[in-house]
Amino acid sequence: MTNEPSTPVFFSRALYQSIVDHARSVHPEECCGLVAADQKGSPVRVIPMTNILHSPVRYQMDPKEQFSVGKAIRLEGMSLWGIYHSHPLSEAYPSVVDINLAYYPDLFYLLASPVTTPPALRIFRIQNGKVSEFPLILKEGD
Amino acid sequence: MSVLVRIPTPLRPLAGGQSELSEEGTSVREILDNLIRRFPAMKERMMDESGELRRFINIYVNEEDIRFREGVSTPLSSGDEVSIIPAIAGGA
Repeated sequence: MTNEPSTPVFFSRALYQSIVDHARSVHPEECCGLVAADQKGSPVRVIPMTNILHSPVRYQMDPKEQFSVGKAIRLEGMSLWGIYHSHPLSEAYPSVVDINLAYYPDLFYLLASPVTTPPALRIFRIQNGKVSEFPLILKEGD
Repeated sequence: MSVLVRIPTPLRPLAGGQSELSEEGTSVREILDNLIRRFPAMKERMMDESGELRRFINIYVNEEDIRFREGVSTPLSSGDEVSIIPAIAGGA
């Protein structure tokens, strides 16, 4: 898995669009979801999740849904690759709350801003309270 | 009595890199105590200062959140699966 912030992360435009569509569909609430990777470690699936807080400034994944989706990912031979959510009212950058609640240092955190043109999607690692941004390169196709 | 404990990726480095392991105990509390005895570094990540399970740590026994059963007192049967799942949350 990519560790150096200078290393670009490749992400398909279809997955990007799925996240943007999800963010728009629940706007002005924050959306949240997971990104699963195939056995090669490439991100291949966006899985929209329920923000049980239904808030424009907070999100928390439905724990039951998180459990069942996590299990399904494992049983399909995939792995959890990233966590996404939207910032409907602010920049697509991890907030202090995001940093404090980032329990998954080995995953990518994707932040979407559905109100910019084009909609922003940025990608980070959050490790020990430190945010590292990676260049995100969108590629055509799935 | 032995149950299977599933360790989430963020805690695996603290548990010898294992994704699942076998642990002895008749309740979730016993499992957690034994797990922390084996891997002391897990304590701070899972428990708060008063020794209670952190709010953002969810634990499932088989398919059920222990909050909807008896919390850490939830009894276990041989062959049960205990999953530790840190919540995913944040905000703008």
